[in-house]
Order: sequence, then C-alpha cells, then structure tokens
Amino acid sequence: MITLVVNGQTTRFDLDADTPLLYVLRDNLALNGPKFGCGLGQCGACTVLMNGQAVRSCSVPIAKAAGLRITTLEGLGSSEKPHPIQKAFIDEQAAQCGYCINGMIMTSKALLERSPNPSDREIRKALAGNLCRCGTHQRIVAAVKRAAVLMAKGG
Amino acid sequence: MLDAPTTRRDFLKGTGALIVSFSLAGPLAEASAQTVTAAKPVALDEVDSFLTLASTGRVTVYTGKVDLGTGTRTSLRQIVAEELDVPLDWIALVEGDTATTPDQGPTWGSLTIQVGGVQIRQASATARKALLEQAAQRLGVAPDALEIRYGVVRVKTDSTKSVAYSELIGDREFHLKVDKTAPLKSPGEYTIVGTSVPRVDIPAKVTGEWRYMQDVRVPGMLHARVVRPPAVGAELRSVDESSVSGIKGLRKVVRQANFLAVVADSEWAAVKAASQLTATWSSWEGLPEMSKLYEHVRSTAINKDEVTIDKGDPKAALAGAAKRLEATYEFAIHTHGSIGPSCAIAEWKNDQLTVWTASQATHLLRRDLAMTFGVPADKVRCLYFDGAGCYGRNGHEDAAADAALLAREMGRPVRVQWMRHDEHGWDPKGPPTLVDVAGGLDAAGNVVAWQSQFWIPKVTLITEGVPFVAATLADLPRKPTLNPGNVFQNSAPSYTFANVHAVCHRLETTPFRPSWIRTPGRMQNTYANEAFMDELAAAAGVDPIEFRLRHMNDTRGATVLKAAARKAKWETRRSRSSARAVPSA
Repeated sequence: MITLVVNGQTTRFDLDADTPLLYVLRDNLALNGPKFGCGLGQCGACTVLMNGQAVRSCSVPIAKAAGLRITTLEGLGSSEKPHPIQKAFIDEQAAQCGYCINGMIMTSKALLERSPNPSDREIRKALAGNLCRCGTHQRIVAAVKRAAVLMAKGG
Repeated sequence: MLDAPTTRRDFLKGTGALIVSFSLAGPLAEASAQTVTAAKPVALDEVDSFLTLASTGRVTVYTGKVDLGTGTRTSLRQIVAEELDVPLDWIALVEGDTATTPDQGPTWGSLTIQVGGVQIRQASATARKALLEQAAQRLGVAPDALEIRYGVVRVKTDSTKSVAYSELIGDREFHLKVDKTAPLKSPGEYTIVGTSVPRVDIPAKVTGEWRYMQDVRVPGMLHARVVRPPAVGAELRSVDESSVSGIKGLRKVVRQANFLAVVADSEWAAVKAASQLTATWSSWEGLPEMSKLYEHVRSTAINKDEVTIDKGDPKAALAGAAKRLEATYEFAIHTHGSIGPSCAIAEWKNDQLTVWTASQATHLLRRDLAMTFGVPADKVRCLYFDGAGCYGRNGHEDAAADAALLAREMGRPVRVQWMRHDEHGWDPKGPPTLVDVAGGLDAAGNVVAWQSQFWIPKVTLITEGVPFVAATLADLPRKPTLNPGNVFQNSAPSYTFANVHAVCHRLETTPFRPSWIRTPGRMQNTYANEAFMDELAAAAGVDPIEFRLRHMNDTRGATVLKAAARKAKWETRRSRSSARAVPSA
C-alpha cells in the first residue's frame, strides 16, 4: 500500500509501485488538472508540486511520491475561488486550447514561491521547459507578472 | 460545466412540444447513455436545428462547428446574444454532437464565424422575426412598434406592455425554415458583437474543471494502447502473448491483421503491456532515405500538371533578362504534434456506436466510421470534447477508429490514448514540398519574368477524408484517398509580373499518409515565393519592402505591407542573396 497526500487529502493505494503519479492523480483521484502530454517528462503538461517543487508527474513513480505533499492545479483554487495565479491567467486570457496551462501555472507557482517578483527573463527561464503548441507565450508571461502583483497584494 | 452535450434523452416529448432540460452539471454521466431515438431537427434549413429557447429563458445554440482553442464557443454565443437581444450568459452551446447539431462542415479554413456563424445568425434573425410577430399579435400592436431587451419584447412607447421569449416559445419548437430575408440587426446597433468579452471556457481551463477529451471517463470503460508496426508497411508475423502474461489488469491482446493493441483495466497496465509485448514484424523499407527526400519527391511519378497562373511569355522574357536567378526551396514534412496526443472513447450498444472524440469534423468522422465498421451513419454518434490545439486533420479520427475497433472486440467502452510516439509516428503528415523558382530582372531591377514549379501530392476530393490507420492495418473498408488538403494554394504569386507561369506537379504518392495541416500550401508556397522575392530584391540592390511595393497594384496588400513594416520598425536595407545567379544568355 502506498499513501499519497494530495491537496491535503490522504489516500492509500494498492497499486504497482512503479505506476506514474500522473495516472493515479487522473484515473484514481479524478484530478484532471495535470495532463498527459508526452509521458517522458519533456513537455511539462503534467506538472504538479511535490513539497513545493514543480515535478513532472508522468515521470514520478508513486513510490517516490509516498507521503510527500502533492499539490495539483485543483489544489490551488477553483473557478469560483481562483488562486491569484489562476485569476491572473483568466484576467490575461492566457490560454488558447489550454492544454499546457496546468504546467504553466504549477511551474509559475513554484517560481513565485522562491522569487516573488521575477523579471521577464526569470519567468521565461522558469517556463522554458513547458511547451505550448498554440503560441500563447506572451500572454502567459504577462499573466505570471500579473500574478506576482496580485500575490504581493495578498491575493 | 459549460457546453454540456445534451443527449437525445434530454428531449422529452410533451404534448407536441419539445422539452429540453439543460443539465449543466454532470454532462459525462448524461453522455454515457445513448438512445438516438427522439428527433431533434438537424437540417441546415430549420431554425430548430440551431436554436432552442427554454421556458427558463435559457437559449441553447447547436452548432456543427467546434472550438479548437480559438474561442469560437464564445464568439458564436456573442452572435446569437446580439441577434436575439439576450444576455450572453443565458446562452449554452452544444458543439459537434452529431445527433443534435446540424452538419455545418468541418472546423477548417477559418470558416466557423464567416460561414457557420452566418448560418446561426440567420437562424437567430428568423427566430427574432417570428418572436416579434407573435408578440405583436399578443400585444395588439404592429411589430415595428416593439423593441426587445433581455429577451423581453415590449411596446416602445409603453414598457409595461411586454411579453418574454420564454412565454412566447419556451420549450416549444419554432417549426420554421431559416428565412434568408429575415432582417439582421444593423452593425451600428451592435452592443455585444465587436466587443471583447472574456472567453467562457478559460476559468474552467485554468482550474482543472474543464473536461478535455482526455479527461472523459465513461462507466465501465477499459484502457487501451495501440502497438504500431515498427515501419509503415511492416506486416505482423507473430505475437508472443506470454511476454505480457504477468501484467496485472491486462485483459486482452487484440490482433486483427496488422492491427495490434492491448486492453487493460488501468492505463498503466496498458502502457506497460504495450511496451513489453513481443511481436515480430516483416521488414519494410519503403521510405526514401532522409538525406535523399527531395530527390525522391522530384522523381515521384506525376499524376497531372496544374497551371495556377500563366501570363505573357516568361520563357522568352527570362532569356532576354538582364539578370537571371534560380533557387530551390524544400519544405519539410510536418507533424501536427498536438501537445496532447490523440484520444478517443468508443462504446457499442445494440449495433449502435458512440464515440467521444476531439475531431475537428465529427460529422465527417461519423460517416467514415459508419463505412469502416459497416453500420448505417444514423447508428453512429460522435460527441465532441476539446483536445489539445488542433491544426487540421490530426490523429483524433484515427484514435476514434482504434477505439471503435477495440470496443467492438471487448463488448465494453474502450478508451484509447495515443502515446507521444504514436502521435509523432502515426498522425497524418503535412507532405514535403519542393519548389523551383526562376526569375529575371531588367536593367532597371524590375521583375520581367517568373517561372515556378511545385512538387506536391495530388488530392482526392477533400471531403473524402483521410483513411484511418486502424482501417488500413486491420484491413477494414476504407477509401484509398490521398488528401493533403489544398496544397496548391498561393503557388501563383500575387505580384504584377507581366510574364509569369506557375505549375503544380501533382504527385501520385508522398512518403507518409498526408493530411491538411495549418493553412495547407499557403505557408509552404508563400515561403518559397517570398524568399525568392528577397533574392530578386537583393540582386536588384533594392530594399525588399520597396521592391515588393513596386510589384503590387493591390491597395489593400500594399497597406498591409506598409503597416507591417511600420510595426516591425523596418530599417531600409538590401537583402543578402543566396540564390544561384544564372549566366546571361
């Protein structure tokens, strides 16, 4: 049995230890925020936070995630009560298809925790490993900057 | 959740009335059942095909067009809200459900607003006209004495005399043909169209609440992964099922001719089984060598030549030119490469097939699935859910056929999620394009001759679709089409050359199964034409913007070019040349 702590909820799973965290989040916990993009840790669509660090959940076996604090997009906020980063993405309309946005937001969350007022360059560097096929990059960077302001104001 | 695809079940027959219950929560549970029996109109000439007005005031719009990430589910709502004078948030939209939406054609060619939107607008205008007439009768005044605000028709001079849409039509059908003469609101009166409104889907998309195709779950569904041949035409010789016998949750290895897949209770079991399964395939080396791709293209058999422009005598003009240049442009094979690999779910119930899909063309998909699986089209229902950004005919249709084949085999709903390697390896490709251009300048540096040749695949009628991978591998009925889209587009240069000739050599074959991808031809052919214009400008010693303006008589084009140069802070300069200068004759 493997115990996962996801968005503050503790659940025990009788699953193969090598099962990637992504599949458990999506299929066992119905958390659709993290997305399957490549399964190779290369696109960033599956990003979640593990003890505050942005990780690629497609490449983390659940055995390695056991007991750690996992946060998904759903753990930040909802459309009723969005987290400041989510609000900033809404305000900037920073999505086309939106499939990559989970990774953009979760990676930005980790960035803003360690660097509350990042420069454009820092934002671009932090998000360089997150692919967006539609080309929403400008708005995404603007959203992260806006999020920094919102968070500095206390959300 | 927004955009709940209502099911036939939602249409409850009353006393000659059609009652629609709008389930904005739990659409997936709703969608899991399929009883395609009740008959909501879907004909393109019926108002009821496009619109229902509920007694609650809710307006539901039904469209065969789907939002591929460009925001049309918001802008189509704007069009209807404007024409009917109802608030934007009263409008629900059902997209691409083949059972309840009219077939407005695939979502391609930037036609959703300019064609699909116009159809919906006319249906709305017809509805508005009918509602006004009914209200006039009820209120005992002439229709032009009335105005509409927030779905309420009232007498202009006495707003206490009013009647709401919901009272006039609520839950009933219009039984009206779309009236092409029904008056449209004048653009000068617009309050919603032309304004920038927030997209309706973004809040759900940034919080994980939106259901993409990849997030759809159907009760009782199994998970499958496909195991494709190691080479395009390799044939399956044998499968060693013992290689996956230890995998917990694996249900079945499905083999049909060269189609191979694994079906399991969980995604991870399917992923593991697909990667561990030992199969032997015949060797196949039918692809050209990468380094010789364009030699292969150049030597491919030509089906026919299509001349896209022929003016003056470019051959003679070229021979007499002061300067002559030649260049060759190669445009690589392109994958659609959506960030979310293709995914579909299929379920068979009583010879009726339901497919959950992110296809850009659900109505076409329905027809093709019917052909491949040997059932009438009205026994197939395709329900649309967003995929990751779509730029043409990608792998979603193929995943749908994979799922339909496997669901029939398993007798249960099956979800097929392509892995990244399935997507890159097997989505249909934008074909390689090869272009030769020759041009000549006179002594003053003006273009006196232009000759170009394009080597591009032939095209079957575009609505004939692209054969499913599963149909080819499993040897199921399919049309042997070659469909790269309109790849001839923009082969003819739009400049004012006196002597110009462009020919498209339409090739019999192309290395990979082609499909249309992002503005077919226009990107490739324009790239070649414009790159060569730069070469000619360089040879003429003229700034490339100035050079183009000299060869344009199209005011609109010139305005765009000047505006682009201004915005790009263009600095006047000469281009550098890499084209081959051809010795003067």
